[in-house]
Amino acid sequence: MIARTKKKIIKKYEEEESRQTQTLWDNEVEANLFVARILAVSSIVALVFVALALFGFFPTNKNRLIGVMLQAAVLALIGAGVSYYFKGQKKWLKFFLLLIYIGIFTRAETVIGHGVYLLVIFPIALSVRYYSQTITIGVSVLTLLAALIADYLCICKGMGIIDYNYVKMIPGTIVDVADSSASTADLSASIDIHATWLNFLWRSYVPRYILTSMASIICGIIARKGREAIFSQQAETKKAERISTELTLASSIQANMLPNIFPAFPDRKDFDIYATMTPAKEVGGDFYDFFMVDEDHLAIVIADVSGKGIPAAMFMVIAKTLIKDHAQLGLSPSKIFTRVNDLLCEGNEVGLFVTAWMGIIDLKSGKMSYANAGHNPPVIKKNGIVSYLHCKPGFVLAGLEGYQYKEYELDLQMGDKIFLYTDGVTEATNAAGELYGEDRLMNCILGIDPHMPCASVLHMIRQDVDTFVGDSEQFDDLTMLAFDYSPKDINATLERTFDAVDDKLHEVLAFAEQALEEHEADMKATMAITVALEEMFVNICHYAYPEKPGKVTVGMSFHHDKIYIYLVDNGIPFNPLENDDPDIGAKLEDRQIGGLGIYMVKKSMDSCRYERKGTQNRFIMSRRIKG
Amino acid sequence: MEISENLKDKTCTLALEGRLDTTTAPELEKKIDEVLAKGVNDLTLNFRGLEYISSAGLRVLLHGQKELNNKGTMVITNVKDELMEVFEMTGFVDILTIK
Repeated sequence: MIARTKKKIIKKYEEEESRQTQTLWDNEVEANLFVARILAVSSIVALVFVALALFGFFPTNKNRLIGVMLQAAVLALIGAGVSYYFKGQKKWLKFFLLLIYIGIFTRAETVIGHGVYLLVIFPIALSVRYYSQTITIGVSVLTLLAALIADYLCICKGMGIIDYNYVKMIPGTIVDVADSSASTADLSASIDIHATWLNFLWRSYVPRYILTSMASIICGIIARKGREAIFSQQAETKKAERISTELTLASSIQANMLPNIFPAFPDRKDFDIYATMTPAKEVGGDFYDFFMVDEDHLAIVIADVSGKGIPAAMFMVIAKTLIKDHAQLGLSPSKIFTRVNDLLCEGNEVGLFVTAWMGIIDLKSGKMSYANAGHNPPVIKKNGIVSYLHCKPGFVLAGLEGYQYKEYELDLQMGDKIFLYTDGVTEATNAAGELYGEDRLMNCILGIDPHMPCASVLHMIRQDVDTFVGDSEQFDDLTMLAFDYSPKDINATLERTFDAVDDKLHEVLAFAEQALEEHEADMKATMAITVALEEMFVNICHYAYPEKPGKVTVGMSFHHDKIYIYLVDNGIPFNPLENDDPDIGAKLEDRQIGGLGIYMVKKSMDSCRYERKGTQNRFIMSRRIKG
Repeated sequence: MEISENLKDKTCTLALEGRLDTTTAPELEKKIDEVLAKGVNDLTLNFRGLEYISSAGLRVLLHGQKELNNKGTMVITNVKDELMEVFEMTGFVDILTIK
């Protein structure tokens, strides 16, 4: 029967081994090191006992106790040492370590049986750490067998100290109970060994064995549960990994749905555009979009779907597709929103909705029509002034069937910029619970160099938001789009620096005339533009550098049928636009000479602007080059 | 800028060719002062060859017109369209005599 049981146990063990996984092996290595640590501590405890015994702390035989404890300490140290030596990474280590513990227990039990029986629990309890029911049961059986043998040796072979309570004395024997260190060997003359052994067995040991067996069974079950927990944890991890893989895939599908190759329109030199989206979760509900409706019309869209994760992402896909499809029919933003809204409302039982802002820009004229479906107002930089492009926003998309969206218009000039974003930017929160907010966004954009390409602008804003947020977790998707209505390649701008003296005037004018001719400007425009340039140049020579001459940089860029000219000098602050216009209706006698030049510039150019930047005067003016 | 002068008694025609701008305007101013000093009271400025005029040029024309006012006449002829626009824009059409 024992042979069969043994076979069964071995079979079960092999079965357990066959399910061995990396996690279980990692656990076993950890357990080996754990048991080694307990052994090391045990050896220290044993040495403490030795010390206490030396001072006669225990009433038992001092020499025997010290002998046992020293042996235990040495055995424990060997076990710990071997385990540490192999770093816990040997299959046989667990058996070796548990056997050492059984050995320590058996040795102690043989000598001072009734005093150290509690040690029995150490090998059994430690075996649980390996999460193997068979190992725990095996160790328990071995430990109990060892206890039986040790107890037999202690009493019948007189190897240890015994408890007088269970000793069967031959009638008439006188015993000094104060001496509790006697062994059966010492008392052999006065006791009945056979009766004593039986007495010990039935009254002391068998109850202990039964209780130990119960503890073993509990330990075995705990070990099994531990193993099961590891397996179910592994299954969970696998499942989580699968979901995570799917989410990553979904996220990449979503990212690829948005135009994300930059430069987006490498053959267009008349504008710059850049956009980014950083989802808070793997997939998000934000999106941006931009595309050419036809040769001259660029559509830009930003939107935020309510909710997060997969449902929001699915809704986003539908909304984005519908908006683009309708835009390509040549509809205006308000019409697109009105129709898309109706389509989204159909069968929207989940109650998701989308806030969106859309603009369609006529790149030739700079006219932009736009509509807003409950989205944050874009930031616009117009003539160097940064502001929010407020309009009365319409209701959110997918919210109310039949809603009619309003259309707004704005004229863009070269150099104007539009920045679209979702509330993930303005509502980014730092550790103190403060929101990034519209003011910070505005200040950040104000501080950005106007010549910076859109990609860098978004990068700068992102950095500013990140700095503000610090270590806090990103809560919402962060989506931004920047559009710059000026030539992408700023180096294409013609620029030259001249000495600011009247004598250089002809060089300056020749420089401009050549460029105007190359861009096929007509006579009238050429005249008006060169006159304006002369007036500005001469003004700088006389008023920005009243004492000693300096330098002036003249730049020109062409954008469709417009020229933009700027003059930059390092003279004293001088704003020519501040002066009053001359009275051109005055009689000859009253006509004044001053102010006429600036007046001509203002009259003949389409736009003029002055700004003082640091030590620089900057004057920028523009005009059509035809008509 | 080239200025060709045709002086006969108190009548003078100055034909201008090129550009009348900040750097060339003083030349014309000098010339006008010169002929006026000779007692000219009928001045004609022929703009046939003039391609360009800036405020500096206008300044000179205003100066000449003021000098001759109540003493004689100053007439500008053959003004190109582009220059005419400058005169219109600045209100000079009302002050000058353009033919």
